[in-house]
Amino acid sequence: MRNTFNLVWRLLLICLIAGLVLGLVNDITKGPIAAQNKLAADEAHKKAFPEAAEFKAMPENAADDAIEYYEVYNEAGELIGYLTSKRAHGYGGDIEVMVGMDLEGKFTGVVIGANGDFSETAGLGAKVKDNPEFEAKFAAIEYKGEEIEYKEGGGGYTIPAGSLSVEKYESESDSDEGVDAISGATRSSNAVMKAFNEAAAQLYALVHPNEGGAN
Amino acid sequence: MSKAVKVFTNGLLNENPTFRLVLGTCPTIAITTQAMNGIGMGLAATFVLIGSNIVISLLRNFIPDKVRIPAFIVIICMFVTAVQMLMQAFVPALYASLGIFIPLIVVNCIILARAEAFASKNSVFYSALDGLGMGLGFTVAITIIGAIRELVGSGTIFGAQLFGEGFEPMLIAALAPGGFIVFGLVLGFVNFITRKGSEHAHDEEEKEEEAA
Repeated sequence: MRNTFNLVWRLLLICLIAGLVLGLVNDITKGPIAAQNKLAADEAHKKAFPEAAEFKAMPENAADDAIEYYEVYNEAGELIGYLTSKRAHGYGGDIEVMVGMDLEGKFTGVVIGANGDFSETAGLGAKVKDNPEFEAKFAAIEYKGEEIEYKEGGGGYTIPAGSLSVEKYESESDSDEGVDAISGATRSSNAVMKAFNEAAAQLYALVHPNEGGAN
Repeated sequence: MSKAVKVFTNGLLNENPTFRLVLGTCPTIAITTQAMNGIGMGLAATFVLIGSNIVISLLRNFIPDKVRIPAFIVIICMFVTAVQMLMQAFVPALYASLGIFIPLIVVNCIILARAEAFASKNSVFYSALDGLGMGLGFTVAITIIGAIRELVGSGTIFGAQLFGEGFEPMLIAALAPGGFIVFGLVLGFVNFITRKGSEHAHDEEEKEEEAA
């Protein structure tokens, strides 16, 4: 019995001290870590909205599956647009698509796959991430709330607002316009398109609050 | 000074944790997709190794033998978590490049193995040296594996393109099965070249004995 007690109190002491030390370190680092996280988040948001100076979270507008909505302000403190992120399940996990829209309904930027748990296959699905050309094609879309025009001329397809189904887009020609799925990365591309459509519809509703259409 | 040198070089060569002790293979295979990952993980693990070896050596008379494993684990986890939080708070750039590797260190068997085999039985000075040697041996080993996998699997080395545009990388080298294979091949190669050396030394010894 005495031997067991000896083991117990020593182990207990070690665990107590370890816990205390970690609690202390946590106190010291809590503030700086929160500051660093905000800094990193702002920098990430700026990629989708380069002209922004400040992002203010909009908690009251958060829907079930949205990560966040932000009001975007420029340096003069004026509201210049909105930013949101949407997630969709790709091949290995979630893909987060961050979209910014200015007050005229134009996309200011699209950032794909910046989420920490991005885990698409390297060399295949991962090609949707860090792919400025791919992102630019989404940003170039003219979103009118009624239709998404993916391509001028023949071979394109449109999605009416409110119907958020996504089809894999088979390109008939190799034209630069429009958004083709990345070959070998169908599920990742579809996830990106799905997340993008949701984000675009929600942003459009924020920019045009009087039009009841988009869900 | 000779014992200190022996303790230090042990982790680099004779008892290299990756190629001789074959420890820490899970994080090894997971992160050696690029050479730079090897350096980052290796240095972070070295730092933790030295620290935990020192602390456990300091406490070696306080920790009873029967509960030494849980005690070691608590100490190691405390150390790694504290290091992670401090880095995240005060050196964010370094944390961003090393960040994911730090929690991975907790599952690295090398730390626990050295605590059990060395730090709990030796003085603080030698325990620190052992941590340094083992950590550096680990770093060199996984950087080599990472460099090979990066070269074959992506055509780059430390991020720099080595081959031309037409080079088709062998993608599997960058994935887990390729990691296994490359690890095994390098391990076999290391055994081959060191066996030649020890056979040579063995033959020399025999000759000396016969001549005597």
